[in-house]
Amino acid sequence: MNPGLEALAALPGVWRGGETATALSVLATGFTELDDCLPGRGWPVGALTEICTQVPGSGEVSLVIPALAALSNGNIDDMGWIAWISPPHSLYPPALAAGGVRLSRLLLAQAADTTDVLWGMEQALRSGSCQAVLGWADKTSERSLRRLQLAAESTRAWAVLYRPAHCLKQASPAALRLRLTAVAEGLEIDVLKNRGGRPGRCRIPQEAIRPDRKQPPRV
Amino acid sequence: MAVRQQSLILPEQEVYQPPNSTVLLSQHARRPQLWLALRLPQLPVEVFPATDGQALAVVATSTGGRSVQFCNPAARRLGLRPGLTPGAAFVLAPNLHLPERSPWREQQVLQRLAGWASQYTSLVSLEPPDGLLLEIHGSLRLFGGLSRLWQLLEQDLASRGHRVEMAVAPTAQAALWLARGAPGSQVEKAHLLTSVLSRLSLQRLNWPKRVVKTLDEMGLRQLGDCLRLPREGFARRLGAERLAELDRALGRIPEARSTWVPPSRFSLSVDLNTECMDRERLMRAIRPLFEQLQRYLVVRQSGIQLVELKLCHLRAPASTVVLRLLSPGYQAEHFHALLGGHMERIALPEPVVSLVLRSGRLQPLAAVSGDLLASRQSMGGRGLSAGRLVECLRARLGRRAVYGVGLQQDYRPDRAWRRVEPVTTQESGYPAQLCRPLWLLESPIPLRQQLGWPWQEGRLRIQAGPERIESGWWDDADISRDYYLARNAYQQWLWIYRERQGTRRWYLHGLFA
Repeated sequence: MNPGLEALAALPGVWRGGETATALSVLATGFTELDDCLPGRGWPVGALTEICTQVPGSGEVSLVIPALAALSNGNIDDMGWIAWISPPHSLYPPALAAGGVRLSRLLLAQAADTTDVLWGMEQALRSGSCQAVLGWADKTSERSLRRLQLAAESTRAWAVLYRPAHCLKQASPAALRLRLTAVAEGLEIDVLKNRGGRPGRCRIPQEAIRPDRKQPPRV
Repeated sequence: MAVRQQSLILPEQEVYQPPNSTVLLSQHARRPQLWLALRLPQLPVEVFPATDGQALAVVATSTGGRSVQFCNPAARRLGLRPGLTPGAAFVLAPNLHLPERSPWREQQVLQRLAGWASQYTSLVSLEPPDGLLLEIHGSLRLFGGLSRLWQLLEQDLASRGHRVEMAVAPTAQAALWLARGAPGSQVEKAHLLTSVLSRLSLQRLNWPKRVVKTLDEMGLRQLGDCLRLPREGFARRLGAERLAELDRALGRIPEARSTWVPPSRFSLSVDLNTECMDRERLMRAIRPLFEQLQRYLVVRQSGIQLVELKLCHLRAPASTVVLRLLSPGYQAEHFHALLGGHMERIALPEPVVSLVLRSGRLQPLAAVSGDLLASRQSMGGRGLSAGRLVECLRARLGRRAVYGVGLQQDYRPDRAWRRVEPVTTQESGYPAQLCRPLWLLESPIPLRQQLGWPWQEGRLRIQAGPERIESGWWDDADISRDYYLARNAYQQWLWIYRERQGTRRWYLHGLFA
């Protein structure tokens, strides 16, 4: 690079596009293809991630399992819940255990309606006792999404909100928005909003997400 | 004891369990004793709330019909006197508050005062209906002498709105008599007791009228006159009980008194001064109750895991809210926040007229010292609030809606796990790396079949299998199935099975999601 430019870049207060303004704290996804698309190469911790699916059950939960496994087996000093608020079907613990998630860290809550889901997620995020909070909601106001985003920021927890794909029309303050489509060759991920990075698209090959693959991806 | 109340709350009455231990307190015991008797002559009036200047009198029914028995100073200024009929009383004071005498309330207040008095001495004894006895010999040095302690008690009671008459004597009986007959007496030395008691008027000893009348006819006016009588004759004429009382007062025989025992659980009831349906106002009204509970718990260094709040209605049965804590807690703030979650869900059939707060069993509270340097994210922060989150979610979503999970040794897929209490630290070992779906349907869905193949928006493509699960013959829930991994037209991964017996139907049991 031009030495003059380098001197300029070294000045405090000057930052370059393409670099993130602050050091992001991230959580590796366990999928190389997805990591490559994300700034800091991982799920943004302390922010809201929104995952939208055309058809529920396309692989949206499997996508976060390696990261949750890493979280739950992580530093004992940073113990906290992994809270699941209102999953649409009952979560099957043996599958989670097989994926490497420690079950003693799981906290499940069933809420009656979307209002309670959002309330529960916010409580969980604000309590400071959760490392990750995953929730399922349909219609939400932008304001309540912003509240979740702020709550996640306040305690540096990873918030994941699952929504149907038609919600993508709505603007969202989430740091990361993904649309998942299961295709014959694997899982196609559209990165629609990517704070600190660029929107993009990637495909996780079939071998990495087949349920009967030999070794689950470990981080 | 009325003036200090806030808007919505009347004075609270603590419901205490009866004391159950009797100790023998003897004048001959090695340790010298000094008793302070405390009498509340206006207690029947003081148990009712009244603002300054509000005339208040208490009526009760006696042989002569209903009549005024006690008046507060404001009522006395208006000319009310004990003995007036309620009608006459209202003529003198049209704005008079004229409640029925409530012995129950009086006892509650007395019980609470016993609790208050135990900060000055470890030995408190009740003297119903309106007295307390405090053994203060051991407390004198701590509180800086008798006159200082006396002053403290007087100030403290005055601030609670009580008029009090006190006396000190080496025996409990003498202290009681002096508080009644010569309030203000302070007899510290046993050898002075006889001369002081001798001057007491017999009219004021609270002896039965018949006895006093007999004594009066005998020409005896003061206690000293009785002391000069022969013992046998005195006992024969006036009863052995009177003689025993005299002996106890003079310290000739020991006296057994039951000590007041603090209640083992907290219980408090409060009447609201207006009926209330508004949750916000109710929450505000409940706040002081939780604060009292906190004080109660802090003094005992205890925590509780169960709090029951009853919202009493006029006609409908009381609505009950039960707060459950995962670990013993004591903070009013915490209880109040939890209650907030419950209050949003509870249906009130009628306005609330009174509140009853009860605690569960007290548990010792392990001292937790805060970490000076720990940040919020560190273990301290997360570990401490982990239980709080569960309680908070349960308060709104319901107790059964929030749970943790654990594994169970069973081959049947729907029995391979169970719900557990969320605070479990033990980890069951990882099972074999079986291929299992993340979402298991509550009950399997029968699939359409065409030509023997499972069908869902087109033929399902079998990807792997079968995995045969045959188990459970011992508890009549046996299964015999072949499980397959399949994909449908949406490219979803499904977990399906085929019955091996009977109809050999296909079912959808889970999604890999």
